[in-house]
Amino acid sequence: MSRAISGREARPLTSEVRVGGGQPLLQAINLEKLFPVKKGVFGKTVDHVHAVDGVNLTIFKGETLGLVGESGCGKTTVGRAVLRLTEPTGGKIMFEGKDITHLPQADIRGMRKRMQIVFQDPYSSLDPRMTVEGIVGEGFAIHGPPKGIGDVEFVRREKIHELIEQVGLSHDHLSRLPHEFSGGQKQRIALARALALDPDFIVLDEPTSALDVSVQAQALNLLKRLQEKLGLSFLFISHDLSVIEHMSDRIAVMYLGKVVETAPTREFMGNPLHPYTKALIGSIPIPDPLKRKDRKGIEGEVPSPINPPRGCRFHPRCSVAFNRCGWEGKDLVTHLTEVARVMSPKHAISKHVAGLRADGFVAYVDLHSPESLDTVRKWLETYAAEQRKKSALFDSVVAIDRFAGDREVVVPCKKMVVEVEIEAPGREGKEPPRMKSVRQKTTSMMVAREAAKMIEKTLDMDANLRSHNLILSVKPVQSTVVFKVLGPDSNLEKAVAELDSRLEPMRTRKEPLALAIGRGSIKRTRGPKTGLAVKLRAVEEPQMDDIGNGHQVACRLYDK
Amino acid sequence: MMPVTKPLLEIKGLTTQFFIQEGTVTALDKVDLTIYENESVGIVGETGCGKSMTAFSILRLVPHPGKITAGSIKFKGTELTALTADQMRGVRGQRISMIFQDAATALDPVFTVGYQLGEVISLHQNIYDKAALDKKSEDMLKLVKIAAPASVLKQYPHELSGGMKQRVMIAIALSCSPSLLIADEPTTALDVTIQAQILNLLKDLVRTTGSSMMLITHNLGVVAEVCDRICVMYAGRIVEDAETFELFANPKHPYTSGLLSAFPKLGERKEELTVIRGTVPDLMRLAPGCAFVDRCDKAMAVCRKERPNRVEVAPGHYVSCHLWTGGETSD
Amino acid sequence: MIGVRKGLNDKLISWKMAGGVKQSAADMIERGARNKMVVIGFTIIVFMVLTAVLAPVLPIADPTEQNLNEDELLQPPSSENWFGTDELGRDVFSRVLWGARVSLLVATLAVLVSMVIGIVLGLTAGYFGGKVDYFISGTIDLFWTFPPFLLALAFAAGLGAGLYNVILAISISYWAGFARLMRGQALSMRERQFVEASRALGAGHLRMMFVHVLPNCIAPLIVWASIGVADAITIESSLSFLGVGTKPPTPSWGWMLQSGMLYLDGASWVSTFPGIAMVFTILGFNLLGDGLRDVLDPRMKGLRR
Repeated sequence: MSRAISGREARPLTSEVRVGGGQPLLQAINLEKLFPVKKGVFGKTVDHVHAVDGVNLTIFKGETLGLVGESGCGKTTVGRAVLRLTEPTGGKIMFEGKDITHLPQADIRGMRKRMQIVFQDPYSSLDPRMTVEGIVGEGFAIHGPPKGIGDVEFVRREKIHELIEQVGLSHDHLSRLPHEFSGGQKQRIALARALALDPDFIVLDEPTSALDVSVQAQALNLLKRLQEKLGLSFLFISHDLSVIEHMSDRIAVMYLGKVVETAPTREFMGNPLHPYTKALIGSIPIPDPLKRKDRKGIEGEVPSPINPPRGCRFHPRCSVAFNRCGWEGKDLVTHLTEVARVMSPKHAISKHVAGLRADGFVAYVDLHSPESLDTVRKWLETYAAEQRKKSALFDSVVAIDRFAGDREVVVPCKKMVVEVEIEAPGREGKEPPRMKSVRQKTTSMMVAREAAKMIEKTLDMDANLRSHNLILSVKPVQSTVVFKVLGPDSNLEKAVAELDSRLEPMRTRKEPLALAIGRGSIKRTRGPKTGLAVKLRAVEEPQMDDIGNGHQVACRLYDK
Repeated sequence: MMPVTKPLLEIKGLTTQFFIQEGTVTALDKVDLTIYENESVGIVGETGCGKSMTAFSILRLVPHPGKITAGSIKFKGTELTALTADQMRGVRGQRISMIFQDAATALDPVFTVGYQLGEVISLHQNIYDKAALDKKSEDMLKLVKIAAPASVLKQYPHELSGGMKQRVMIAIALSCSPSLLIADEPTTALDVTIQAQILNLLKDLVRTTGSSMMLITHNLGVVAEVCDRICVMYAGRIVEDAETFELFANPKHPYTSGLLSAFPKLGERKEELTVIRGTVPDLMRLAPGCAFVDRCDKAMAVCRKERPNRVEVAPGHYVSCHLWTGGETSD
Repeated sequence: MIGVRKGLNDKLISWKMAGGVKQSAADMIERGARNKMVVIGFTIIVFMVLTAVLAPVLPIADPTEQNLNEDELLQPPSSENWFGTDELGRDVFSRVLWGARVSLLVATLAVLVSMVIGIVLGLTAGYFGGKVDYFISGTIDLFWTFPPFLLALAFAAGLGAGLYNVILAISISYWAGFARLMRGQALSMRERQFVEASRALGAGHLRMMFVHVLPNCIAPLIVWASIGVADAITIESSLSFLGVGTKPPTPSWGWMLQSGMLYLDGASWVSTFPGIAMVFTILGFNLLGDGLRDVLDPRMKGLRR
């Protein structure tokens, strides 16, 4: 009884009908998850892995949102964060309009009945010592037996039988142990387990990646059927775009912790906009030799999520990047070292240059002696002017000047405690929903991080950029924000004054972040006195822009 | 293109079995396969079909308690099953090389890349001078398009990304200019964008070095991209083999067509994927007839009794299926 | 013998079919039955346990009955006294059998108690990590630095002789080993996906620890326990030998060894027989433990792919 080999035309995608209507079932707003990187004997936190860095997602009732990306992009972390299996370090999660981000664990456990997850590896997601009946029925053991008429035990057994049949297994499988089943069957058991509590929403974390093609087909068909029958909503996470295209109503692409493009499936496949999306689609090998072409893939390797590229995270690998994509100091240093070969003995300025280093949107050229300053500056200016036309990197150069190397501005930060009112869902039948007041604590280190971002935005990133400004490399250091300044020493005081005047109105409005930021002071540091700084255009990350048709993309090419 | 070159590897009737407590598992059952010079052959099939075992059998790396119990493997005229262990060692790495799926575990984590690359070269080509070894190693890394090869030589495997590790593996495999390169799921563990890079690399290298490649994978897209010919395996047997274009255009074996339809294809969204009902048979208790009989919609009475022979249904296109052997029809 | 084995085998298979016993238990029993060490060890233990349990009802002499008759003291083994008599005219054979009761009781109870303490503490430490782990691990390390015997000796000396004191002393010195083992197992188990899956269903910590983590870690602990019993017998005997174990007239092998020491030259049977019994029992437990390790650990499930 096989189906016809040529598939039928896909039915109209639900979200195309729904654009603009109804309240979303689940929403992730600016979701953030950072993992600390600890080094040294005492385990000091030196840096953060930006696994999920400001992700916005919406899932409506009855639809499947496909989340696609390669390894390290953060999609698995997103899946766990929306269920609060991992605690987000920032942002909000709304479930049916209610904020569940800071719900205490006891309440979250109650919510688990509504949202579930199926894991990727069927071999490790089932307890090897529990029978199938025990595994599928575990939800009842935790939350109480399912409702029904008759003896409690009878109802429970009936429900488990129903679940097991629903996923295509039979009654005599119930007393067996996981290791007696194949991968595909194990996934069915995991699915039955997830369905036991009648959830509305299920996160499917690469549910078929470990399965063979024909088994995968069975599993995907089953998922679709169940979705229609039970009115489920799915967050389908995968690295396989073909599977995602098959299963999803809408698709979101992630790269290095951010969503770069979202669109309804047909729109997505018909009109991919983001260069990364296009490259992704282009690299997938199609099982049809007639469609063979030289697939290039993307140059280079995926960068580490510990220090993601500034500006657009994809720009170092993007074939169509231009000057506003976020070229950084390190890109410039790499170019000067490897392409212009400034450090090689034959080069005109190599005898003057002691070293090259990069920090944020600035490249520093350290010199042996102050006399070389003008020579090197002249060379750089000429070179940059030449390169400007053919290189997006040099096109984004904003200023080349000396800098105050042995002094910097230090801005201290305090910790913030904010009282937030959230609504806690009551326990069914026992308590009505009520407003809870939860204290949200932010450590001084995290405040410093936020402050650094804010200071950079306030002082540095001028939308007009007619006059370049003075700030070089804003950085959070423990619980302070430190930045250097371009030009003569007098600019340091100018910078402190400017920052204060910008923060004043915010402080008057009692904004908690502005209140947690102290007054800047100028400190001496151990830095080289002589050097040049090349400042590149400091850009923010591109925001998601709405293109229409439910299509959103975060790319400077499509900036309004 | 039709192979007009000499056969490089000829496998006839290869049978590999595993003798375990519960019984005998027949991993490969009378496999016939020929690879010519200068061609890329894809071996596709799902888990447990025997594709990796074919590679291991060729290189005589079948793990205990398995053994090659029948058949012949002729490599450039030499019968590999008859060689001594020492002679076989001379073949591995030098005349036939293998790339494994997980580069991370195939590379020794306590030695540098340079050391591992140099080890293979010195073992087979008797070059012991360090400077010469380093130069040759660096050349190999350049061949696989690794940037800054001199510094990569000094690095340890864990410092490299997945894609780079795979390139190093390819460099090691090609360092002694083997005539046959066996790649066992070389890109399955990699991201799709890196996969594209590696596949392109393999295609180029095979073309320029003139060696043949046996690419083992479960991904039909990969073989469609890279291979000249494809063999489809099921339950330890080859059920169909043909040139790539011909196979995709005219699949003859029900398993092949089932597999092609079960694959979600980018750009062609279907309501439901075609499913091959049933599951893979137990390799310990294979029935005397065709292994696919319980899952085949076109099964006939004869399919259960006799194993189908391999017949040529079109030039260069072979199938093992009673639908095409002119056997009894109907019932 | 073959007939018995075949019968057992068939029974196991029909058990499997009926699904009456949890499959993996039946599987393990079957594998155990095939492992020679397990079989021998198990047989020995069963034998010793039977002797210990049946001692009161067997038609043997009263182990405490002294026969201070000149010609009853220190008699060599004879048809009347199979193992001879000791310096107080007591039947050595009967004393060896009764001694089994003491040794086995003390050893098993001691191991049981330390297992419970060790599992609870080790599980808590490994599962929760962080500060909890820090403190518990510190305590484990503290106890672990001392060889169990010395620790037991110190406690026993402090608590004084007596059956229950000995059990306590051994438990206190032995729990650290279990805790350590349990902690390591718990640490690796808690990362497993099925534990996370349980959490996703809404399980609390208690459930995750005792329903999911513990049953999956128990195997190496059983091995350790079995060898622990052997160890405990030795420790108890040594303590009794040194006089801080069980009190007379309770027949304890250690005691017997000690009192027989004076007569090694001439009436060696007083020490030898209890000694042999001890070695025999310890051997049994060690064999069982070693065999179990093979059976439980690397599960060769045949050809997977």
